[in-house]
Amino acid sequence: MTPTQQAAPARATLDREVIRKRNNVNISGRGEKVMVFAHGFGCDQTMWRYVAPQFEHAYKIVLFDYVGCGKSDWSAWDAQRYGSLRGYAQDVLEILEAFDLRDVIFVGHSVSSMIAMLASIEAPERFSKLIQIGPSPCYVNDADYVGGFERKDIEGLLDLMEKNYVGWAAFLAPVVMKNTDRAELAHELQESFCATDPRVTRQFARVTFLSDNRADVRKVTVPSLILQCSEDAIAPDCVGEYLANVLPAATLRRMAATGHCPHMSHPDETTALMKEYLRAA
Amino acid sequence: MDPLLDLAPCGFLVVADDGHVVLANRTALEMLGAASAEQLVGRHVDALLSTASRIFYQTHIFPTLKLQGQAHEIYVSMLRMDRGELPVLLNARRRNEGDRTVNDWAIVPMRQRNELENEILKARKIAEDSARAKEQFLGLVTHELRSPLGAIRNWAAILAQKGGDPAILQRGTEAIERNAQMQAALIEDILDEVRVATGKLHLDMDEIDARSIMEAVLEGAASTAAAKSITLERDIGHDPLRVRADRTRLQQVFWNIVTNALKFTPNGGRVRAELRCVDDWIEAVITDNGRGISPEFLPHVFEHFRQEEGGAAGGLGLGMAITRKLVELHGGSIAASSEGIGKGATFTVRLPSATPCMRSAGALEASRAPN
Repeated sequence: MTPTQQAAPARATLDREVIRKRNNVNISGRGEKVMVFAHGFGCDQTMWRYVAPQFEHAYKIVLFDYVGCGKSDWSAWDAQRYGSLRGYAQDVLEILEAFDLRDVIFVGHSVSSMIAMLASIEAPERFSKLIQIGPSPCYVNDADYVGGFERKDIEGLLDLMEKNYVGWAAFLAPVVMKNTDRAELAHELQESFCATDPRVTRQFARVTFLSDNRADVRKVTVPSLILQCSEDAIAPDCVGEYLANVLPAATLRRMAATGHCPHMSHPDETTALMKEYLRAA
Repeated sequence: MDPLLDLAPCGFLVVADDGHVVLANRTALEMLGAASAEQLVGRHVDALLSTASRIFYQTHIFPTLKLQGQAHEIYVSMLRMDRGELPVLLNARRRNEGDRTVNDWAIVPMRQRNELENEILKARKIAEDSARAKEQFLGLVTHELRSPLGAIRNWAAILAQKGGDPAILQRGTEAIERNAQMQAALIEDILDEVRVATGKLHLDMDEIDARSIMEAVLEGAASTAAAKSITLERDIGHDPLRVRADRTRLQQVFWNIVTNALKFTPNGGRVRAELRCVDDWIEAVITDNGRGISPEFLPHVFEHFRQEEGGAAGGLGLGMAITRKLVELHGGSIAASSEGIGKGATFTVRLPSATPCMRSAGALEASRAPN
């Protein structure tokens, strides 16, 4: 069954300033070619601070936050739109369109790899390459497929997150933070990285970890680099291998880096592998 | 290790940036059920966290620590050596130690708070669900009250023009009467709902005959059954079955389950009403071969404002909730069973009998058995 595509927004209505504000789009760099960096679940664009600057001399760098994350416009969040990864893919496409970005090298961490795949299926002409860091098309085990988790594990995660915003954890900023006329809170928010709106995070967790995009993977035509960490507790090695087998034109590189955020924990290795891939292409 | 740190009333771990434990104080060993430091040191924190907490560590805690240098008041579930889970509150801070960066973790168990918070979360979820249900209910009420009103207004307009025609006049007044009754019944249900919710439902208890009430209900329902060509079978015996009950409310209970069965049974179907005394309980069993109830919906049949999706029957979804409440106020119970969609349904009401079951009731059971 083909999933119904969301109707494309009217082309003329995409206002660059509206999109800039909505997704906190920041553009820097001195190159012609464009690299877009998309953060994963749980954080915001600040997670690229160790890697993105390494490309500034040669590329135009585009950073953004998904709606409900970081310094995006949290009031733009819509439960229905962001009820599936397609809503997030729509955000990506709107950013590319509003800023007239083409042949983009799209670097996605974790769930953003899937979001980029979905966006590239819809508008392949916008993308030249996908660089996927710790991607997984499906986190939940299913028959022969090993995603690494059982459904109850994901339910446990949702419960845990609930607990953390009954409470206090600083990265789950209370909704009141949206209140921009309270300057001291806005200031506090500026100081905190990876702040997310609890409502958004709850649903983002759901769509991230319960989505099954395995059927979409085959439809991707844009070439990809998969960066697979060793001992990744979120996207295990077998998932990277699965993707490399199924994804057309994919290159799999296993990293010495451990964990799930090599662009933060091992920025040098990450940068080197990316540059190598881009040089070879 | 500094003996003071070893005995500190919180667990203390030093975790290298790659996630491996470098040091653990004695309190941490005790909390996690480790016999010696060797059991913890050198392990990756992934192995000390529940699956959910591991995801949370990788997606939230690690990035926050790396970017912000500290993370406060984070709830995670740690894994003890015996694989049991220990809910803890975690504070962590990065610091440079020689040429490397390490993270200091302070962990405080929070079993009791955890339970309390589970309760709070559960309560909040219930409150949210109920608020949502009430919103839906308001929408539904508006819709349901509006449709008979629309019919009444239409007929009033028709009568204003063509009221001279006796045939139209009769049809019109009948329709207006029927719709007004429908609306009155809806309002009655809403009022009952409010009375139940506010504890203001008053019962006039008396010792009465359940059988004669069931008989009256079946008489009353006969025309509806006939209109749908539904066979309305009865096996309610002949002897009085005494219960202590509010006459009007008991009638309402029987009426609700009988008309509910008729509502969900298609034309030409069958509804069977049984009434008997079993083990000093008066048991009313209404069985139909109608639409049935899906296993998913079955546990929710008696909840407020709930109607099975795709039900074209309309109404507020209050009838069964009120029925259950009324039965419970009489010290009885109600249960629904169904083999599934298309397989019919059975509703069983049990009320305490005012007198011990007479032998004839038992004899009736017995006499049926050989057949």
